[in-house]
Amino acid sequence: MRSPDQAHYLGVDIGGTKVALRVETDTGCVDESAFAWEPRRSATLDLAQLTTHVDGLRARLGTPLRAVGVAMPATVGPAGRVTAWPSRPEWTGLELEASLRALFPEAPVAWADDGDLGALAEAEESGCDDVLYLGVGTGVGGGLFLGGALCPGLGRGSFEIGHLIVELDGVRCVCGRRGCLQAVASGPATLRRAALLRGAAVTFDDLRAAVRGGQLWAVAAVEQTCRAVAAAVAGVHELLHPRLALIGGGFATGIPGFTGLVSAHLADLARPGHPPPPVAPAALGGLSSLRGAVSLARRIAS
Amino acid sequence: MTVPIVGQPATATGAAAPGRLAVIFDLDGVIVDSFAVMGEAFAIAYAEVVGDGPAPFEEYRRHLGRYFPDIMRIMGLPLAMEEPFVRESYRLARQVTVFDGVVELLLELRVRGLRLAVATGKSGPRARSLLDGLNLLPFFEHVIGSDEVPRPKPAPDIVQHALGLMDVRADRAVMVGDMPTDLASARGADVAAAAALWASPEVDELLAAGPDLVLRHPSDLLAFCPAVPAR
Repeated sequence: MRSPDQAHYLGVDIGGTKVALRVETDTGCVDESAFAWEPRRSATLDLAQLTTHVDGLRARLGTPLRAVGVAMPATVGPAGRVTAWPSRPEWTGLELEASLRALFPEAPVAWADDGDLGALAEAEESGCDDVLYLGVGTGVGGGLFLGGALCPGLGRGSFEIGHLIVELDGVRCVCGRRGCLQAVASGPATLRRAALLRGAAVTFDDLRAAVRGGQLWAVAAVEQTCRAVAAAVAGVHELLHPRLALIGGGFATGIPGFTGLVSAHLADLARPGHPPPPVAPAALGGLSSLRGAVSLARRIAS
Repeated sequence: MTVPIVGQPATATGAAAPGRLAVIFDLDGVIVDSFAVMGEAFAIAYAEVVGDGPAPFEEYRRHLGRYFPDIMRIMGLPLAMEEPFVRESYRLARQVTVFDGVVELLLELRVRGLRLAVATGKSGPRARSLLDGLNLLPFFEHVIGSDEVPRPKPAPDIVQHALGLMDVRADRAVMVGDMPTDLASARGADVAAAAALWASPEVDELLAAGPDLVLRHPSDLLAFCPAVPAR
């Protein structure tokens, strides 16, 4: 039963193709919904669509929101303006801060990078205060939860592990540089490498079946991905010493043995006297950013 | 957004392939570029035994990698062509070259502790003589010719024989070849088959045969052959 005086915390996960919303009280989740963006038009129309959906949510809840957290994949500048979002370029230049305040006038609202919020949620779920989270999917995202707080912290930019350089002369990244982790280890990058090694096109289902069957081209393509991920984990560990590394993302969770391979390559990279952190699968799957957005709402409310 | 998957084991579940202990190479079109020499030897043998007229080299080319007498049978040519073909091949052997990057590959594989063998459509003595003349013979523990096994490629005998001589399990070896017959021979012996594309005359057929691995340059093999741990 819903208690009318219970505080509602709203998390919003804004994605390139859809938006997910989740409302929690102190006792658990009371509402979860999602919608796909209408055909691409403009940021103004996208926001209108979001407003309609939020109005419907308010009507369902019946009480004002206590706080709102928003997960954003876009790059947001210090002035609260979207500076880049390859998945929805129409949003470039949008005053995100002002737009969110207009959308939620009744409650404090904060936003953070979706990878950072994924790390926040996964860290809370794991019960560890020093967690590196890596999501390997269409891109590579992630975040670092250090001493119980996000690193580098709200308003100070996001933890862009996908653009950590792991191969100086590696393949070209969408950002223009070479050898970014994302360019080497994302799902599409791994499928491209697998296709080269196989000499034929490779789908995700082909790859996971062939990895399971131990086929050389598939294992080799995934091994290189896991080696790059391990190199990134090793680098972060050298500098900031997370006590746990969690691997999630749709691609990594779908490939059998992915986490174990990262762990094995990480062990190979260890220096004497410096044991690497344990590597484990992330627990929340595709819900990590959304759950992190709710956690962010709780944090700004208290 | 993906479906959450929980409870995935933290350790590898069979995805990590064990390291390779041995590499079995085809010779012509993989290690040595003998294409021109084989063409010339074939033309001379044809002229001597069959007579005037253009030698059916295009058809012969498609069967490269098989044992020469088998090719003669398939093409309906007299087995008597073997004698002049072999004679001319020996005479022209100095013109055979090693593909760029192959010596470096063989050296690195040996440094990493892998054991190497050759399984060729040629006869054993001729293959060993050719490799010796190129100073490559010491790289290989075994050089096996089609005359030294019951059934030549595409049968698995030659690959199985190499495994037996080296006492290496099939799943710890890889075979590198440039023809569908090489892939078939490896497959029949349950050995992973790598397709060498740097000189293959049959790239489309080779890829259509579904190799376990495609190599565009000899050094591409190194990624699959990490150093063998010392025991």
